[in-house]
Amino acid sequence: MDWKAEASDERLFAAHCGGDPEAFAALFHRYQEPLCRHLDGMLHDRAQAEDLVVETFVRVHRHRHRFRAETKLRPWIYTIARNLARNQRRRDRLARWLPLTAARHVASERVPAGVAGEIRARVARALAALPARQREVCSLRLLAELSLEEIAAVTGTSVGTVKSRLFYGQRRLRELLGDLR
Amino acid sequence: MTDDECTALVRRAHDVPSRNLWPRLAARLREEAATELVRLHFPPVTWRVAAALVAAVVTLVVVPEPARFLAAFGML
Repeated sequence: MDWKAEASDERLFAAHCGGDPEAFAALFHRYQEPLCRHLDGMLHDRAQAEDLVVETFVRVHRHRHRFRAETKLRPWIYTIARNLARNQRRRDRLARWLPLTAARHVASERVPAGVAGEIRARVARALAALPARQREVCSLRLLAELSLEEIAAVTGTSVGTVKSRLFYGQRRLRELLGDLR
Repeated sequence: MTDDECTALVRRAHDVPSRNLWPRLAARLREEAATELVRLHFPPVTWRVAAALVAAVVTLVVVPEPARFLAAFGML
């Protein structure tokens, strides 16, 4: 069996730093879907989320020497993605504010049609209705499937704070989506 | 609706398979490799560095003949 399928993220990353390009591909394929789901949940734009997934891994590669071997890789990758998503939101706000660029935004989503599309739109609206900090924690937990400790590391808060934000965020989501059961 | 049902619903709504983004990333990495620069980092300004700079400036201001002072210590 290929060792890459069983290897930890940190081992794959170490192999990449040692010059094994296939290890980086394996690592990327492991992260692509959950990271894209999370960024989509934060930005509500699948195309933008895909761009940021690629950009996140470019940064991971560029700053590979900054990664401290005694820490976990997953929170580091999600922290990079978080910073990129914040910058993207800031640019989007500015673009909406500037009149000349207001018409630049085009719908670029590849959303499924029909009932699935409606459900997706409802869930996107429900996530968007959450306060930013609750939305981030809910997205990291529900879409990226990070542990509470990892979320605390990414957001720079305590596990207690993460639990609290998750509790209130999920309660609000249940209220908003209750009729979709 | 339970937490588990809510989680399943949110996940299902985002369960749109992405394109394979690896070719895009591989192209970006090739570009990175082609334009890789040696980045020079200025050493961090720690309190020791700051204290040394302050001491040097204060000395030059306080000493009546700074040039002579530096020459006496072999720094000029």
